[in-house]
Amino acid sequence: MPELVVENIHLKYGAVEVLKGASFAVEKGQIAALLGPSGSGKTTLLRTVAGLERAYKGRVSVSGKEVFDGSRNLDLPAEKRGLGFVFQSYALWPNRTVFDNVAYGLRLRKVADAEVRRKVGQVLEVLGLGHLHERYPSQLSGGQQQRVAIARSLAYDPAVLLLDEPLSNLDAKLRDEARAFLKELITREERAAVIVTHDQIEALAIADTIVLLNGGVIAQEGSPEDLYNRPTTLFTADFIGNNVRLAGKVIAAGDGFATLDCDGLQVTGRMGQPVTVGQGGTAICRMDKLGLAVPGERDTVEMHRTTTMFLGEKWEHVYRIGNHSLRVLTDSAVGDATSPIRIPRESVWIF
Amino acid sequence: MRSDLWRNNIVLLTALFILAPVGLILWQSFLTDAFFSARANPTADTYSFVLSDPGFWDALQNTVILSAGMVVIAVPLGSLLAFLMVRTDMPGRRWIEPAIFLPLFMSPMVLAFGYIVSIGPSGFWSTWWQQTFGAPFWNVYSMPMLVLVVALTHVPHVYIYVATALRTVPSDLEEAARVAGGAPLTVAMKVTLPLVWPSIAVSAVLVAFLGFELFGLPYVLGDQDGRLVLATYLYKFNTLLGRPAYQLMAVVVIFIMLVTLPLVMLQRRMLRSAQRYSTIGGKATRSHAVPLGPWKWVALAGVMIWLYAVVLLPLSGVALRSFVTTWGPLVAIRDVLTFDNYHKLADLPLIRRSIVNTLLLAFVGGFASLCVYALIGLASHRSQAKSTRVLDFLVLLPRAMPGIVAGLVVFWIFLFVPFLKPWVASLVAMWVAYTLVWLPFGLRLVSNSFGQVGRELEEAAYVTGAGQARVARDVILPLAKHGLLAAWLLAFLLYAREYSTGIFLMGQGNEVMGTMLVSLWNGGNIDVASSLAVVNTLVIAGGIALALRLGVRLDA
Repeated sequence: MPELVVENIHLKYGAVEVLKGASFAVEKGQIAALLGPSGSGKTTLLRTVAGLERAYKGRVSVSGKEVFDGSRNLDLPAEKRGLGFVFQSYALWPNRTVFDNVAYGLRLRKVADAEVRRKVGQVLEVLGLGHLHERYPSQLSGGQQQRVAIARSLAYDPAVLLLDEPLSNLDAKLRDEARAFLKELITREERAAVIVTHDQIEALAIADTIVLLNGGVIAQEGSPEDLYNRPTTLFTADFIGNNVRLAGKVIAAGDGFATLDCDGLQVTGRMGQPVTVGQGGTAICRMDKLGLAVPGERDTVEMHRTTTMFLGEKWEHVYRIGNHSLRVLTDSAVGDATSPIRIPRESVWIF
Repeated sequence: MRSDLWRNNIVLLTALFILAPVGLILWQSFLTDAFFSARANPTADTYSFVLSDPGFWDALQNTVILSAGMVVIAVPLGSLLAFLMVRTDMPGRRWIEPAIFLPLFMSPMVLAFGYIVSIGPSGFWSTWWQQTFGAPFWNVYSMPMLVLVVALTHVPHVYIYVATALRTVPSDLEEAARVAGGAPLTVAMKVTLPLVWPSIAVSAVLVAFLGFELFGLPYVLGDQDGRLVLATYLYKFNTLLGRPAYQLMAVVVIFIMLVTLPLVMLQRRMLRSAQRYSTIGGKATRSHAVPLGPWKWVALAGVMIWLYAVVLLPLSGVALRSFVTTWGPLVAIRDVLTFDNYHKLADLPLIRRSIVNTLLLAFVGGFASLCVYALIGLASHRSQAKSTRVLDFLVLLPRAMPGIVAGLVVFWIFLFVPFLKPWVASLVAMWVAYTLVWLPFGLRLVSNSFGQVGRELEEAAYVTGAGQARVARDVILPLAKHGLLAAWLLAFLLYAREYSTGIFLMGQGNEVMGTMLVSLWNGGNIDVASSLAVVNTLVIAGGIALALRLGVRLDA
């Protein structure tokens, strides 16, 4: 049985329906990422699970115990759900030391003093904060604050840990380290974790399951590889990865592949859903898979180069044909004004 | 499910606290006699009685003139003062700022005394003028003088609103206009002024509203000629007919609130849109002062004249008067110099008690009121419930109630409710009235400081396992500590100054300085009144100094 089960959550702000039936489940030791553009309801969903927002329909259960059931009018307040929550702002109480911040949950549970000291010391040690007990949050760096926030949410042993964009306030270098650290920690501590993020790289890297939200409903749910390699909706295909989007008409379809004619530019790709010849379609092409080809290769289009930029590691070129322009990365400078551009069919999805 | 029961109960109690007085006034206004009298019958004649009394129309007319005069004089002057203080390089801004707040917190009774003893018929200035130039050209008891005095003393109210708005206008807006070729004055009129218009309008409504509440200044400066305003007209009914005519007083109260309530509602609406307007700047940018050139000395001189008129002139008069036994045209100061007036403060038990009571009420009572406001504030904190929105609207009622009215109604309630009756002339009744009068202001201060506690800091405590009481105790209250302390200090200042609220509640044992000043004035006891006024001003000045020292914003 999964540690956390969320079923069919509906939530309204006034007349606006923000969540329209979101469901997911997380097993012990696993991380689920709620991913989506801003306004997709991912933070709201996380806050609903925590009891900080109130849904009007749906069910949430933690470790097999129901904490919310819209049909039975059951809605345990946040303090009775026993979850860990890491806020985007970290929300460390500025008037308490690191030790007191972390110890708060234990003290609320009336744990004996000696046990509080042992447990807090242990958690802070695990998070590499052993030397900072008496500091105040304002005296810590961003990375340290983030770890205090995590320590605070772990100290009272919640089965489920909810993290709202925990890495977004860290600078880029620290973020990569923290990501790896977080993944290792959650697996080792055997919690079920839900992490909200708008950064697909972060979601792909950290999660065992990605729940992709769009406008309050789940667009696709699955492993990172699933979402990247087997998108089932146009939204998923377009949201994950760095893509070029082309609209056109289906001129050939069959064998799992379809060809689209977009104003003189022809692309072939996997069918995300069955399409028939003559209907309109959209092609999503992974930009990083575009490349220069040799003449005669399949899945190529002859285009001419209009701009070139040197990015340090790579060169970026803009190639045009008709109204279309594609950005293509190469490892070295390109001399020719015109060349065939490869749009490999394995990295194109047609919807 | 989270229980909202306690929130609703507190809102309910607060609503009762607000609505009971208003209901009682309404009921009383339709009775032939005092509501506790056996002879009281329902009637509407009280209204026709008041409406057919020429005295009422005179009072109404005077009130309207005063109120209009205040708007016409105080609003431009206050706006100009704000512009000079916030936007220009006028010298001495640093020490003028605290001086501006002094008239705001000084008791109007003290100011009124000050004008009488300084420029009254045999005042210090008048006698000097008489000896030097001949008969003075002014009459302190005249209507134009009264308008001038109330208008000048309300300049700070306008200043606060406009200065706050001016500080949010980023100076790059002005600089852009300057670069585009605008002269400083043009820029001030065409760029800065339109941006702060909403705040100026709000302050105009506020000042008009305060004009209807005026009591102390018109009571002292206008009463000699029998010139009444609505509040003093109301006060007259206490003794006019031999015994208090409660039913007529209630009618007058209804008429006052019929004017003040719409003004308060209007102000609230305008304040909301003004706040939307003023957030354009977002972050406070460093503002660059507009250079005034030689005009800055003219500006400084103007501000100094104003400060002299509203602070130094009345205060020096009161201070001087408190050190002499008598004063008149032929008196030499060294013959009459004395400390007796101060000895009397300690010797007369009544006066001594009023000082002790004031300090007690301001310090302990202020804290107790703050606790009440904090409890109400916690009940409506981050609540989306309908009941709290109703509360938000209900607090407009006490806001529209002049202090003297609130005191009267609390007096009635203590008379009316059997178990409260023994307390009717006690400090408790006084405290209840003060708490009611300052409820809207106190609640706003408290809610503001609660609102500044980050939402996630509270939520973090909830998810960690704290219930509502623990979150309040462990997170909200500790983090709002500074704001609450500031609110306490402001309550101290306001309670120490308050005089009109206690007028009807004063009895044996619960005298406070403010009401004592009124009754000393009634009895013509100027000697002691002056020394008591000096003590009252010193207490308030001490509070202001402490507030500035602690960095408390007085323009809240």
